[in-house]
Amino acid sequence: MVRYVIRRLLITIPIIVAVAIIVFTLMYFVPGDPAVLILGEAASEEELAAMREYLGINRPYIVQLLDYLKQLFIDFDLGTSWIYKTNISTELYNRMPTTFAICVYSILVSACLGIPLGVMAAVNQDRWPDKLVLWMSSIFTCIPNYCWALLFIVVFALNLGWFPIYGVSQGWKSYVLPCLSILMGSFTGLARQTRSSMLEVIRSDYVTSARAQGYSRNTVYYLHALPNALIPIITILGTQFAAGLGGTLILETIFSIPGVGLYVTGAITKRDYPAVMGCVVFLAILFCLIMLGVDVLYAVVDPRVRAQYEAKGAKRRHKA
Amino acid sequence: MNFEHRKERPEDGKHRHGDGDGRRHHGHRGDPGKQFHRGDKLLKVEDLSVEYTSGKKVVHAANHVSFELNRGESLGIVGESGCGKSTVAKAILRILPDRGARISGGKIMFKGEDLVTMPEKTMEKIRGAEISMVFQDPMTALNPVRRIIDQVSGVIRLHNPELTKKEAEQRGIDILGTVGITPDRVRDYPLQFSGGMQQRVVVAIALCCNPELLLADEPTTALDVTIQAQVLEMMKGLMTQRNTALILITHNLGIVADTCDNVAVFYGGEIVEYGSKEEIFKNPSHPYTIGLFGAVPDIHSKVDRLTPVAGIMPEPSDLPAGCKFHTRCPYATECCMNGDVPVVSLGGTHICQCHNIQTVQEANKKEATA
Repeated sequence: MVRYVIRRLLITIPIIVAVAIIVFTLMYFVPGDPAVLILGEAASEEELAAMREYLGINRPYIVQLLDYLKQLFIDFDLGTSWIYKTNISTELYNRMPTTFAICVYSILVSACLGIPLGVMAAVNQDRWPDKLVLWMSSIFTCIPNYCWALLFIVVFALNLGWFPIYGVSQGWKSYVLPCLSILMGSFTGLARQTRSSMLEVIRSDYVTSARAQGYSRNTVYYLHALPNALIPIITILGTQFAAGLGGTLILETIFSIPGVGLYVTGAITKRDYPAVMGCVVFLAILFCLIMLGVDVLYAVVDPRVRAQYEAKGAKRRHKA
Repeated sequence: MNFEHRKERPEDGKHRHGDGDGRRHHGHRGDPGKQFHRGDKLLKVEDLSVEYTSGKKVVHAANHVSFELNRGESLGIVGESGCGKSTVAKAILRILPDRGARISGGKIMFKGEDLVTMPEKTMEKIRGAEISMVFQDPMTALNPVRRIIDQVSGVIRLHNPELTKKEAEQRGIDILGTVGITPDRVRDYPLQFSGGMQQRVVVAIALCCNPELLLADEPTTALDVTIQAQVLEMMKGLMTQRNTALILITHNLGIVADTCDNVAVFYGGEIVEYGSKEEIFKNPSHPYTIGLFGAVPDIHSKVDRLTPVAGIMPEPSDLPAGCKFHTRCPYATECCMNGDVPVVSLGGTHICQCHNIQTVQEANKKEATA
């Protein structure tokens, strides 16, 4: 198991390097001169040349790339923002907790709502609870979260005045509307996934066996079937969580929440290349770690997966 | 295992039921006062019909099936895939799929009570305790994320709520011991067991509450031949000890000859021939039964190809009128195409559902002498 985790961590390194190279290359070839963007159209040619020299963007592509990779992987430095002139790592460090909080809350509530709904639908297949869940999930997943956000702002913030319209200055109240907006799409999707996963498990032989052994219908569903049905759900939750960390940018913009998303959006619109690259690399690392966490969790709940990891380890040892 | 029974007739008397001398007194099943004799009536299935509905299509999986089973006796249900064998077993336990399946008629009298109309709560007490079932594929019959011992002791505790967790586990370990699973392996997960070991666990779970009836749905089909013999021997031993009645569903005639007292041959959801093992094996009378025996390879004769029963099983949703077998029957005549098929008694318990029984028997005798 430990071997597996170490191996997975080692595999993460080339992935991150590849991400860094791709993002750098994309940013390099994006048309437009960063010097003009920073100094404005009115700047003289000498000033622009001096700025390019200062930013180091007058050097050839390969030199810049290697320089960036050295900075990332040898100095462990995400670099300095061109626009704000602040250290990107510090910026991310300060902004991460806010984004993290939104993701954690919305995923938690989404799991608490979505999984029971999915089970209820599967257990009552083709009856009204099932149809209700299916209809709800088709409709809700079709509506993007920014639509919900705007709707909630109008209803709960402007008209009813229950929650603040923007910012995070009012404690938990500030988080309710952003979380709710993410939630609407994700819990219904999760319910759908739980439903299909549960249906598959309910049809399996060991569930029929459990019925034949005299367990009541509900015991079979919740004690025997659900733990098996939840295994694939862990992946979905992990992916949703990881995607949420990088994907809240629209919501953070709408609600003016000083999180990572708002920072990335700002960096993109202002051509703040080091900031964009820094954020992407940081989120890639985070994504890899969360996925690793998901896989480890997988092994904890499913002895089959655990055996697989252990077998792999054993084979390697055998070869050595 | 599979190849030896075409010519070698099972010995008489050893398993004979019904006559006074052959009846064995096993008694006791563990608790005093609960003394049962082999031969007492345990299960009586009367005119049982099961249908599956999917959309507008209705599949008649079992049609007017009737048979009886005494305590300690074993009945082999033989037939090809899709003929309704498993459906009957699942109907007895009332674990047919929730959606679409329905017992459309008949009674299942178990110890004098009708299981068809029994409330679900009472049924739950019977399942696993008085009637239990062994499924075909051990690889999928055990919950992959629960430890072996938890799966065994869980069932023990379910039916003996007075036991503590520890006591149930100890009993579980004992029972697993009787099927040859050592205590150091009981905390493993199913995936750490071989197929044979898994099936022994399944048998242990099925027998852990001393059921009076065991339904074994092709218990050895998923196992290789040597393990088949091992599992069957073990099952037989345990069942004789406990005087458990058995319904063995299989398409392996060798196993039937080895294990069963009576045989029911299924075709198209009906029992086409029924009788004691001796009657069926010595005097197979239905054209389908004859075909089945013809398909068993003979170890003494040298042939390149096996003789299959010609044609394929009709779609259960689209069974022919009249005799269900007439589409494949070499003896079929006009009268087989429609109407009810008479059930002919051939003496003893032996019955056969066929219009042309005389012709078939004569032809069969001629062939046997030739």
